[in-house]
Amino acid sequence: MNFHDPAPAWRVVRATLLAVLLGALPLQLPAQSTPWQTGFQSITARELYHHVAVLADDSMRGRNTPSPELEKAAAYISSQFSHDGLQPAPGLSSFYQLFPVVRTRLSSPNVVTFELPDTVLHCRLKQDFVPLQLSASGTVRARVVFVGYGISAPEFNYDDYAGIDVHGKIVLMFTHEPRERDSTDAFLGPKATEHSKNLIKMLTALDHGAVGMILVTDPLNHIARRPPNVWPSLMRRKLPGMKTPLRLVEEKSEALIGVHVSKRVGKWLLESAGADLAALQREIDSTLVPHSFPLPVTAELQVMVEGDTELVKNVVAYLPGSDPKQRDQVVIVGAHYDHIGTANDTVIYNGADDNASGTSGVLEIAQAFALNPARPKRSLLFICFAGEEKGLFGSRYYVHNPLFPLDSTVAMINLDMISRNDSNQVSVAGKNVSPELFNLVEEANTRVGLEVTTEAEKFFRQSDHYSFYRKRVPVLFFNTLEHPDLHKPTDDVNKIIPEKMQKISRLAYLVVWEVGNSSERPSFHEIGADSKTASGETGQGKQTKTSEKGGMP
Amino acid sequence: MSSIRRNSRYAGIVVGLVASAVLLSSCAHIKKPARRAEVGLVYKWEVGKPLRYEMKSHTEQNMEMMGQGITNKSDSYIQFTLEPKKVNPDGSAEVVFRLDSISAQIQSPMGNMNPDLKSLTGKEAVFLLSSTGKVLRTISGAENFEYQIAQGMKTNMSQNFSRVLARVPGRPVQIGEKWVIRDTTTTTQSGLDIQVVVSRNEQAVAKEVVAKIPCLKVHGEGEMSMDGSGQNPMAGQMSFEGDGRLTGDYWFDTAHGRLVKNQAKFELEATVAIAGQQNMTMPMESVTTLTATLLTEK
Repeated sequence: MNFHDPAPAWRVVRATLLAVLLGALPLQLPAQSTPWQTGFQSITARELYHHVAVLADDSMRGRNTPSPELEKAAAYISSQFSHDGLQPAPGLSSFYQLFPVVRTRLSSPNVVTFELPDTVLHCRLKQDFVPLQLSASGTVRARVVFVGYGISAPEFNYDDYAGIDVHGKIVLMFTHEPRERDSTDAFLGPKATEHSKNLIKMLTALDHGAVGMILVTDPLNHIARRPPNVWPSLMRRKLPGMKTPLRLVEEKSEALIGVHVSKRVGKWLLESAGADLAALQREIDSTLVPHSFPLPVTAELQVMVEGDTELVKNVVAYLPGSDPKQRDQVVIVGAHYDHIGTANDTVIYNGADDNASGTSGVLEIAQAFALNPARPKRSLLFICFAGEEKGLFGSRYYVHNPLFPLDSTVAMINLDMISRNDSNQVSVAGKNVSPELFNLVEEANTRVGLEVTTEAEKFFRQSDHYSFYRKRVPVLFFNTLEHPDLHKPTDDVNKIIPEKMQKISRLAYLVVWEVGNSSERPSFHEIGADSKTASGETGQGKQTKTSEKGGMP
Repeated sequence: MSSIRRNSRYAGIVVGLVASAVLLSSCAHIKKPARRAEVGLVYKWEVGKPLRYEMKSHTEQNMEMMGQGITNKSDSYIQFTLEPKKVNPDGSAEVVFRLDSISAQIQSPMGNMNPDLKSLTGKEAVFLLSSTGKVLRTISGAENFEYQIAQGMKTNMSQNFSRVLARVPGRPVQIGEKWVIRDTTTTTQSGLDIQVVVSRNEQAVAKEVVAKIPCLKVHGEGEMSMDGSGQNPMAGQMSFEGDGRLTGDYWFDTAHGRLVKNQAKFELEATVAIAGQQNMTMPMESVTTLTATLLTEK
């Protein structure tokens, strides 16, 4: 299917007419109250709907990463940026930032040994240990530290890493999270929080300086004795044509060697320190007090994975700022444009809300700034990320290969799912990360009239802004929350609310306008940290344990 | 949004596989050949004496998708009748299995699934059962028990129901006596051909009265393994492997040669691999408890 888009020509004509009319009218308002007006008005429900209809069409086959259809979607986004007169970012010759993804398979050897002064435990692949799908390839040898569930969750007043130094260590942790089956409020009871994800556990371990990671299935709530097998090559019956897991080619600073061990091995490790696997978990769950401690064990983890690399595209557009002194700083507006593809090649997951809607918002906001006669003082980057559904691939790559230095990145505004549920409600996360940014949302909303909630905070680690948060960039996350069609074939264009998208996109546009023009930069605070620094400074936030190891890369 | 919520469409597939494993593992297969015995653990089929049972099962299943755990729960309740139509000299019998009522529910983070099973009520199939409770062959009616478990996916439960009966040694046993049973069975579930290998250690524990019926209680513990592959209508090419542990008791009315009660718990650790664009390898674990009880004698 070819996409004939009459919209760009119409938009240029309309913008021209608007400019003529506005120029012919006496100014009724002070100039500084309407400098954003043209762009604001150009964001329309009709065009937002059109973009979603294109991106979520069956022919896009769910925009899986990687796929020919994802390429097609990237081409569409690129063409829209081009039509609107935006530029490729400095350092790029096109609107594409390519990044590598790799399909990994287990190579050999994979060896895990644990040493006590007088004992060596040799582990068997599959029975005693299985390399994590997220694991880097290589060998690491270090002392082992038990870190509970491996969770840092200040919003629940819980931190397994508090008071323990794991720099250069291999961390041993339970899977899942405390009180998994408890209906009390701690960790949201039976509903798993993002802290239970292996990816988040790994990133948290990295942030605290660990060099290796060992998972053991928590015994109180899970009967599995063996480590879970995640490698097709270890199956007894091989599927012909089975592809291996897809992963991002991480920077070395984000590479961690990790394995999952059996309960037998986990028990042995903890008994080396006189502790009991189940009793420890019981103690942590009952008190919600971390029980982290070093073990007298040296572990050597050798994991060998190899893979076939493919290149995937982030689509990036650039609008230079108007102020020579501030145009070297940038505000990023982003959304992921990938989804989850098809099932059995017949059932298509179109992902209209997730996240053709957010991508459409970025396109309209980019167009709005391009059309608006006045430009913000700071430069703007509009980024549509690939690979979000696979684990924030595109944004994780970007923050390690930024097109503007991260310490010059003033804020990142993320749109992910902005078209469903209550027609006049939006949820915005990031209030505790940057109160100034959030205040801009409330001020701008006086011109839009949405009901703004903060429920999206519970999904804070589940979209691309989180990659920027980890690098201490102030962020905002616009989201309209879950619905029954999420990650189902029924997430289709006929269910979106374009008028709601218009309001949210206009709100985001106004926030970006203000951030792009403000004389002060918004502050950054880690989630759960005191909102004021010791000296009352604003800016990039206070020094914390995670930044001591190196600060901004 | 990066949210692991794809499991619900696979829940039915995996629950079906687990259900198959549970019901197959609750069967016994004697090492020694069956022979008629006036007393002891042997089924005595009698024409004109149907047996009515109820069975309740509960399964809790945890799947790992892209490093995040997701829990599904399922419950089922059935009532069925076994009615012998013809008894052979070797003690085997042509037995009509009739489904009197059935309900099932699957709960997942993305909502509930309620397979449409009402159409199965009243359906019948005829099996040739041995005096040890083994299904020797399906005579007719198996096609009557096909149903849709999820969108685009059908399965057939006829094999499962006919194997609810505990397998017995088919000979007299003494209190305290132990024996080992091994069984290899191949079944088709959700488009997959699955081979189940069971090894179970059993022991005659005691004489107990259940529902006013004098019974012999048998305790069993064992292990099983499952391997399967095939083309699932919904998910495409799939491969399945699992290892499990089972434990349970059954109470047998030796005087009348009938099962009175069967209780079992089954723990399974498995991996499901799905090819195609989704391309996932999903570890899972499940715990199933099952109770079958003789209701009345019609």
